[in-house]
Amino acid sequence: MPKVLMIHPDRCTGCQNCELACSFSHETQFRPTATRVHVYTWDREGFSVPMMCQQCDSASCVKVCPSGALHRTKGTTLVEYSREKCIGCRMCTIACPFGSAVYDSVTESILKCDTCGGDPACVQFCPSQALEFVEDSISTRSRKSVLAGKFKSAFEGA
Amino acid sequence: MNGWSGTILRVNLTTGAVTKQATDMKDAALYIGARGLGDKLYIDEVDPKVDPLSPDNKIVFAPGPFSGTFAPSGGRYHVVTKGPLTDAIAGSNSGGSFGPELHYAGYDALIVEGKAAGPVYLWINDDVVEIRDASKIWGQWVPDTTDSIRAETDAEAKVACIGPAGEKQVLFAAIMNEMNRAAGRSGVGAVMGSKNLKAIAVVGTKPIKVADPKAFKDAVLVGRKLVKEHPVGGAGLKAYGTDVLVNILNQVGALPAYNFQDGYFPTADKVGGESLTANTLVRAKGCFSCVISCGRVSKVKNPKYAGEGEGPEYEAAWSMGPDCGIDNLEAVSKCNYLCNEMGMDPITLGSTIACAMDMFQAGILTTKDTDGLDLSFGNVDTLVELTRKIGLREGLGNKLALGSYRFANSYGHPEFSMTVKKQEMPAYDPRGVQGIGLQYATCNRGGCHVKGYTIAVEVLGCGAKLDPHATAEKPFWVKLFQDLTAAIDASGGCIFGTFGMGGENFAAMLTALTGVTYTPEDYLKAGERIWNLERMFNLEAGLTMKDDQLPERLTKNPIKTGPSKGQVSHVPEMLPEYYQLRGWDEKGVPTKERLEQLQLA
Amino acid sequence: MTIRYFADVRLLTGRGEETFTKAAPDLRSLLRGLAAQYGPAFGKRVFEGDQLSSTLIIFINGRDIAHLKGIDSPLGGDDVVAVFPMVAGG
Repeated sequence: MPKVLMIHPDRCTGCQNCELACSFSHETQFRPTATRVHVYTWDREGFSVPMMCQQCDSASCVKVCPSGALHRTKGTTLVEYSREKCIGCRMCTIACPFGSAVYDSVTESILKCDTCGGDPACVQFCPSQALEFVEDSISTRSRKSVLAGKFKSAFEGA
Repeated sequence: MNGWSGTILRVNLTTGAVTKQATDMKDAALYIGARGLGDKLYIDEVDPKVDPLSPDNKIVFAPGPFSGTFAPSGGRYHVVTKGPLTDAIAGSNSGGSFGPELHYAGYDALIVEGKAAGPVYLWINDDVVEIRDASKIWGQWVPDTTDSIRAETDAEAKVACIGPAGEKQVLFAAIMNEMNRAAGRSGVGAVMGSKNLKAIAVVGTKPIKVADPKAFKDAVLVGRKLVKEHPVGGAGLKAYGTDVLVNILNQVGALPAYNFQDGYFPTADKVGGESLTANTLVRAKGCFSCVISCGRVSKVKNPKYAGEGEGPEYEAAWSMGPDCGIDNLEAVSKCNYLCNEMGMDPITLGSTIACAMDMFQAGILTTKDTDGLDLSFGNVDTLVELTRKIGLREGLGNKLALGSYRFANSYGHPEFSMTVKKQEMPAYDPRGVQGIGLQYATCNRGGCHVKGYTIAVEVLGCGAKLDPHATAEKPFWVKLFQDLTAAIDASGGCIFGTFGMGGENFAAMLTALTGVTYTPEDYLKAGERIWNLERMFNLEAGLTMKDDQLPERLTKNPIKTGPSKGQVSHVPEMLPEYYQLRGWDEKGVPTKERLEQLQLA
Repeated sequence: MTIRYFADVRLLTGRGEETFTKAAPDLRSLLRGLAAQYGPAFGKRVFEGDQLSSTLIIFINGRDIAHLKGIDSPLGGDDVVAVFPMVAGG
C-alpha cells in the first residue's frame, strides 16, 4: 500500500530537526528558507506542529498549474513537481489551502515536500516520532487505539 | 566559508553606528565560536576594570559553528560581558532558537557597545540592521515584549529581550529568548538594561555551509545514536526533566537546605521531578536541533499560583524550594514563571531570599527591615511576594535585587551569603560532594555548577563512579570537565550532549563542518585556552586566589542531618593540586610556559 | 529496613517508599525478594542476568554501592536503600 507522511503534533517538541534534515538532504547545507516542512511554535503554551504538503488527492495546485509542472501519477500518493516545466507563475502558492507550496527566490523554483523519493529525511531525523512515513491504514491506528482505550477504562470503571 | 559565517556585526548605541568586520579566522580556529570567540572579542577590547553598568562596558552575543546545523542539541549561543553581580567575566549560555537565527543572519558574533539615549531595540534581518525606538515597549514583561516586537518586525522573528528586572538593573537580571529560555546568570540582563537596549530581534535566511557533508552527517548520526542509547540523554531527561535530581541529591545528603544550614530536606520529594511529572507537566520541549527534550512545558491551575510556561528546572526548584525551607511545588512553579516573565536568574533569586530568611532567623533582620513581611524559612506567601518585589525593585526587593552578597554585607554579615565571587552557589552541597565544591571555588564566573559538572561522575555514575566524599583525583576531574565544557560551549553545543557523546564526537563534527582539523586533544586544548583567557581577565580585574574559596560555613560547619551528616568541604586541600595541574603558580596565576603552550602569551 | 523508589522505578512498584521486613542479608537477596514481590517487569529493570542493571544507581544510607560492595553489599535492619535509574543532570 502507498505510504503517507503522518504528523503527530502531540509528540512534537519544537526542535526543528525536520527542517534541518529537509534543507540538508536537498542542498547539503543548512538554509532555513530551503525547508519544505515548517514547524510552528506557540511560545506561551509551548505547543509546536510541523506543517508540509499533504499530497492532496484532488490537489488545488495541480488544478491551477498552467504548465503541468505540478502533476499526479495515478496510483501514487505524491504530487510531483517537474522543475523544467515550471514557468514560475506562483499560481500554486495562491491555490494551496495549506500554504505548503512556497516560491524560493534563491533557486527560482517551487518548494514542496517530495518525500525525498520515498525515504523522508525529516522522519529519519525527528527524535520524537512526531513524523512517520507509514501505510495510510496503520497511521491512523495509534490514535484510534488510544481513544478505544479510553472507552475500555470507562467501561471497566463502571 | 564553512561552518562560520565570516562576519562580526558591531552596533554602537551611543553613535548609532552599525558596522561589519571580517571574522579573524585564526581566532575562529583557536577559540571556535560562542563562548570562546565571544571571550576573545570582548577581552581584546574591554578594560578589565570597567564598571559593568557603564556605557564603556560591551556585551557580545555569539552563536557557535554548530548553531543552525543538525549537530545534535547544538543550537545554543553565549552572552559575554563583565558581570554586574560578580565584577568578573560573565558568560551566560542559552538554548531556544535565537543563536541559530543570528548565525543564519550571517554573523559569528554581535558586539554591542555604548548606551542609547532612550529605549531601543535592534532589528537584524540578514544584512539589514536597524536601531529602533522601544519607548512604547519599555516596561513590558518578557512575553508581551516578544509579541510586541514580532508585531513590528516579523511574526517568526527570534527575540532576545529583558523584562522589568533588566530595565531596573536587578544585578541578576537575565536575557530571555523565545520567552522561556535564559542567558541567566551574573546579571547580563542588567548590562542590556544599562544600555537602554530592550531587545534584539533576528530573522536570518543565509545558508550555513558544510566542508565535508558526508563526514558531517555520519558524525552526527553517530552522535545521535550515542545520546539516544544513553539512559540520561536518551530517556531520563525527556521523561522527568532535570528536576528529578531533587530526590537523588537528597538521598546522597547533598541537597542544600535552609541557606546551606543543612544538606538534607525530608519533604524534598514534593518539589521533585516525579511530582512535577504527576502534577504540572504538560509536555516535553526541545531547543533548536535538540534530540534530548529536557524542557518542561508546565501549567499550574490552582488559582492562587496560576500560571503557565516552562519549568521549574532542578536549580529553580531547589533555590526557591528546600533552600528556603519550602516544599510547595505550585508556589515554586509560579515564582519560576515570574522569573521568566520578569527576566531574572532563579538561582540567585532563591538563594538571596534564603539568605534574608537566614538573617531573619538569626535576628539580624526584623519586620522593621522587611516591609512587615515574615521572612521565616518556609513562608510561601513571602517567597511569592518577594519574587515580584525584587523583579520590580520595590520596597525590600530593591535591596535584595543586589544579590545576597551585597545585601548581607550591607548589614555587616557577609558570612550569611552563600556565594563565590559574589555569585550564589547552585544546588549541590560541597560538603556532600567534594569535587563540585572545587568547581564552585575555581569557576571563572563565580558559584556555578554547569561549567564543570563533576556531578556526572561523583553522583550520577556517567562514565566513571567517583566517591563524592573523597578528594583524591578531584582536581584532575574538575579541570577536565571545565576544559571540555568550554570547548562545547564554544561550539554552540549543549552540555547535555555529553550524556552520550564524548570530546571525540564533538571534535569529529566540528572538523567535518568547518574543514579545520580538530583532534580530541586539539578540542580539549581549545577549551583550556578559553579557560585561561577568562582567568587572565579576572586577575586583571582584581580577583586573586582569595576569591577561589567557599564560604566558611562549608569548610567549618558540618552538614547536620541526613546521609552526609558530619561532612565538611575540603576545597582548601584540593586547591594547590588544581593550580599545579592547570600550570599556574602557587598564587593561581597562569605561568608564562602554560600561556605559551596555549598560544595565549 | 526502608526502601525508596524514584523516577520510573516508582512506576514499577506503585509506591515511593516501603518498609521491608523480610530477611535480606545483602542487596542481591533484597532485590531478588523485591522482584518476586513486584513481578518480572521489576526483575528485568533491576537485573542484567546475574548482575545489577548498568542503568541503575543504588545508594545504601546515601553511599553509592559502587563504593561499598556493589550488589553484594551487606544490609542491616536500619539501612535505607534508595533505587534510581540513571536519569538526569542539570
